[in-house]
Amino acid sequence: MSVWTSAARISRAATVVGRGKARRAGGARLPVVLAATWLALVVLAAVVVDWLPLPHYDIPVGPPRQPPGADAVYLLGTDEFGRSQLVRLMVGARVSLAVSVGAVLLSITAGCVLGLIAGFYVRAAKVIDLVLDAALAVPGLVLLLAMTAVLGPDLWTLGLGLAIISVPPFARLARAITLSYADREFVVASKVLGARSVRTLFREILPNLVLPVGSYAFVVVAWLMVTEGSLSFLGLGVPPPNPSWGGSIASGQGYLATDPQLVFLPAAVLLATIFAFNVIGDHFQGRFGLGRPTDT
Amino acid sequence: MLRAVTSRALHLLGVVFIVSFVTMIMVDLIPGDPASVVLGEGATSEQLDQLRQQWNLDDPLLLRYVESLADLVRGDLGTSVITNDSVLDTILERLPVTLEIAAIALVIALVVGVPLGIWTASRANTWVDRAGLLATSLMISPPAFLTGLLLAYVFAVRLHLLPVTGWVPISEGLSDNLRSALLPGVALSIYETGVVARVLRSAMISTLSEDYVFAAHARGLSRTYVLLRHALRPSLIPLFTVVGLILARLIGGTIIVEVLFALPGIGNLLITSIQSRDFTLLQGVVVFVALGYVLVNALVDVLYTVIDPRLRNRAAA
Repeated sequence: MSVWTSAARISRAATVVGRGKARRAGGARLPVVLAATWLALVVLAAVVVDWLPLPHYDIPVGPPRQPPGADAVYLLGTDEFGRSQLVRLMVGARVSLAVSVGAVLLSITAGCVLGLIAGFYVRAAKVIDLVLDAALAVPGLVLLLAMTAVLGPDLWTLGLGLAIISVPPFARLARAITLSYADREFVVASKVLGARSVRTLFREILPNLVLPVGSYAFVVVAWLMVTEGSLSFLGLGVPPPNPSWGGSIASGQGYLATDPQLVFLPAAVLLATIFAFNVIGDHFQGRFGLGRPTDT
Repeated sequence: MLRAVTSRALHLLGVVFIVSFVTMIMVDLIPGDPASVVLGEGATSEQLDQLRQQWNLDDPLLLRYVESLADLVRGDLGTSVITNDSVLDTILERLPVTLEIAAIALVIALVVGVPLGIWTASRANTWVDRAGLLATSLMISPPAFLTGLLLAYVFAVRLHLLPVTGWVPISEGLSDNLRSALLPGVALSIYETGVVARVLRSAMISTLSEDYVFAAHARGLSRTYVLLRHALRPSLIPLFTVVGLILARLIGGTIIVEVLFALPGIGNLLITSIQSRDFTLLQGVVVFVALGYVLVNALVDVLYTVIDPRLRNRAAA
């Protein structure tokens, strides 16, 4: 029998036991539901935007800086070139989500492998620790800026950079979990039965990483969206004419005094999305997580 | 004890080696010929040769690394490709601006975050605590440029209380200087306040469940006294780590706010160096920021053992 099913059984048992408690803390549930609904809406918008009868994101549809109005094209007004703000926000959602989520999937893979190795082999741990600390010594935004300076701003550089800066937190978490399982009976049993280390690592320990690492991933996505937004705000993230939330905020900045909606509409969307990822991440971490290993 | 210190010092030294190496080979990663990319189309072959010589591009990699390390040890970060000024001097000239807004952010984070953390911890699992948690997760959500823009809109554009952008050096009057530093400082502080409050809250909650706190209550000591005299001090240790992290983060974390408010700090210098393709300057800033991070971390490690005697024994074991 695999560890996976037993872990699932334990968590199910925990849900049953914790049900009374969860009901008492009913106030905490609503934000999670709201956050999940919002994220579902954003994902839906990002997916369906191509199929809706909406204008292209790079084509002006009317006079510039229209306030939010009634019909579909003007629903959220137009930007400083008269392009539909609604379409740009929807396409921006796709770019932002694809880059952040793609980067997180990459860094989860790399981080888990590094963490498993570091938690299992003492000698490798020192080397891995050194490399991770070196990566942490350069702030994420600085590293990304240096990368765009060297390789030029494009989506692949951006995704790779975001993946690199989020490897250390995942590796730390994966190592902590690996260490806590390394001496457990089922791991020792697997070793005694003659399983190779690789098999023990991937068949016995890896499944235990899934829930804590998965819950932590939501928080990391939020952090990466902040970083991507910051970089696009500086004009060095998602390259134009691709719309991005950070880029929209930056280009609306000049009209802050006269048309503040150019800044605050994309800002509200970005903030709500980041907040939603954080709320869901906190919720999952409270149930399956080990807390935040590093506060980067 | 000594063994722990040396191994820690070696570790930090290793970090410096890796960071400086990666920063050095950054130039090699530029697609095409680095020198002509930096100098642009109009460069003469003499200028190109001069730059190649300055970067030692024709030397073997290892030799170049040794040379750049030797320069680093001497405190020589090279000269700017564009202005020919010493990179270190340029950085040091900009440093006070960055340090000032970082200091303002840290002070606000502690002054607001610590009481908030204590308050929510003492009311754990009540509506105060839940509202506090929601508030702090709102605080740690927005990127600094959003908080900055919102603050600029409210206090500068709408209320005309503070200047929107620009920097007044201390030499031109302290009050004007503080007026120009306040908005960026506050914008940076909001995230850090949330972090401080959250860390202190969870540390306090675990301290408050200790037996000696229970005993103190049993002896009839007042609630406030127990909270501040018995529970606060041991809870400050995790906070201390976080303050180190915040300081280290602020060294490079002021970029956005500096650009937003047009402040002549290190962050803006980094952006300028990227826009002008001034790679020597860029490398200098990156190495400087990384060294700052390592230094702050080393300092935190040392102070840690001073504050918490238990760690000294653990390190020796």
